[in-house]
Amino acid sequence: MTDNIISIQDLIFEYKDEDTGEINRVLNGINLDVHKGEFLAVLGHNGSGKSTLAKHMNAILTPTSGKVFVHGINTSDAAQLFEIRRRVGMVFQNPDNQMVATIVEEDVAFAPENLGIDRDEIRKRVDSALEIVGMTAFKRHAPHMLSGGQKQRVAIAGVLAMKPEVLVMDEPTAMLDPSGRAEIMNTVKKLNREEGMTVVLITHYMDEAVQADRTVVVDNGSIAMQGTPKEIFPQVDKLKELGLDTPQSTYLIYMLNKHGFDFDPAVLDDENCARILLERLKQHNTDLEGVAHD
Amino acid sequence: MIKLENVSYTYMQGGSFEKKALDNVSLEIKSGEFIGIIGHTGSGKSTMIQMLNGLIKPSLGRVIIDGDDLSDKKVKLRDVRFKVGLVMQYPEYQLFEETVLKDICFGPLNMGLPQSEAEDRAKFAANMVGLSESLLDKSPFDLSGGQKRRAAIAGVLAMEPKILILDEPTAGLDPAGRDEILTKIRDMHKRLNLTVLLVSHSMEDVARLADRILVMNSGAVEMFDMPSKVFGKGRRLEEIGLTVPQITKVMDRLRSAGIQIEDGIYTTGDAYRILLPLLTK
Repeated sequence: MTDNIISIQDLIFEYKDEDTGEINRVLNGINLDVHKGEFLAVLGHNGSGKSTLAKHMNAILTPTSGKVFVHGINTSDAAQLFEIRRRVGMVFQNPDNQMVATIVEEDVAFAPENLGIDRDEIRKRVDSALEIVGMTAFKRHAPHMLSGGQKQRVAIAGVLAMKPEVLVMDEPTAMLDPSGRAEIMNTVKKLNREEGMTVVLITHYMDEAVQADRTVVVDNGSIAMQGTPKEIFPQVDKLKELGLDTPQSTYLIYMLNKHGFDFDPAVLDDENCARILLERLKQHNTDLEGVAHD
Repeated sequence: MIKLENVSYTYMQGGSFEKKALDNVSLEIKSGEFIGIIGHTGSGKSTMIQMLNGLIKPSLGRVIIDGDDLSDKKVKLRDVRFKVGLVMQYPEYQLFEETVLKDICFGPLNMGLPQSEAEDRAKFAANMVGLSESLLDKSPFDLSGGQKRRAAIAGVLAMEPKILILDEPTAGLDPAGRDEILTKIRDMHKRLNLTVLLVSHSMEDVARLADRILVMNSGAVEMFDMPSKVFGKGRRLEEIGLTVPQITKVMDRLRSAGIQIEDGIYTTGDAYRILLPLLTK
């Protein structure tokens, strides 16, 4: 076995339109491995197939042809469904659709209870999961009184309580405000870096994808680009063609380089952008002073 | 033309979950303005926009639209709702008719307009939001996500409101879909001289379009000013759970390192124009 937790091989997924009888191909030969411990972002415009791809990672959907393996288990093997779902936990877009109980800690306990785990162990798991997402103080609250970001953190805790090997998140911040989005991204990064959790984040927010170790861009059911964020985001024109955009910092440097500068194009955030601009501005001023003194 | 005078609103007044959603809000919006509204979840912005077409009545204070006090018994809320079009979050979930055309006609027919005029309006509105005529006979459920969203907006537009309020019209859309909707909203604002109130979590979107930005916090007006002024107060925005566009952060960092540039830069284009001479002079 390699260190691939999920291995996707020549994945094709089609469905039949009930009205027209036409066959629609959503995924068109995807090959992708998810490595143990990595933070992978999957980008793509609406309808690109990225959510369909995510749903193959825990056998919500199974391939029309090709294979998907989770920890070496073929997801098309219906007898193994339980094992697959236990290993790959999913968090979806709408937090309100994911709450099942009337008290936060009961909601988090729902999955491990279904796994038939004994009481003491459930108690431990629930407490630890709530601790990791920073929601311990709310454990006796009613979910509907929480903010969107808090609800999503409870949803993540619910998945963590199953002790999965991979956390797959399908646009978990799409319905949240900026502070809610920041809460989720901080939680995800903490999980990945401190707890070693493998994370697959489906998103169309570029500022989220830049925080990943690796980015895959899905377009028209195929993988159009893949690499580190520093490799992907400077390709401004190509991303635009694929209906995506770039962080503003990257775009500013891209425009300056178009004008003839030679800044390192792999700039993804405000801190680095300001740093390289500042270096150049200071250098430029020193040169000017040098000329003035001569 | 929109005026709020000392408006307060308390949810579940007298109950154990009593919560003040709006606290003594006063403001004025002129006809034809494009207003961006930002504020974290629970800041009172949704309560406020629902007041503007009479869905929620203030506990205290007055809401005045075009000189009509909405709490005045003589003012018909039905008329107010035609004048103030409200596009809710995820409006595509409210599509229900057999065809896109019928769905867009629903509002105008409800206003008592004859079929032919309702259809004319629907076609005009569909064109305004960029839905091609060939889509009008389709079921709304066969449209893509972005198209459904635009069909829902057309349904409100077909009532020919003077004020259009949109709550998070780009939520869940990808960058291309987002750009398309925002461009259409800007076109409507210009061509139809609509007053537009756009509620958004995206500082970049609001920065790009709004004449003025209303910042809500804890049920009160925190700021109400031009984008450059609002985004010049980045630290305060962050304190109240908001943020500034990334480009504003870049320029703020340069300024605090001693580079002489103005504050409140909020578009990449402006940043480029300011930096270019500094780098080449």
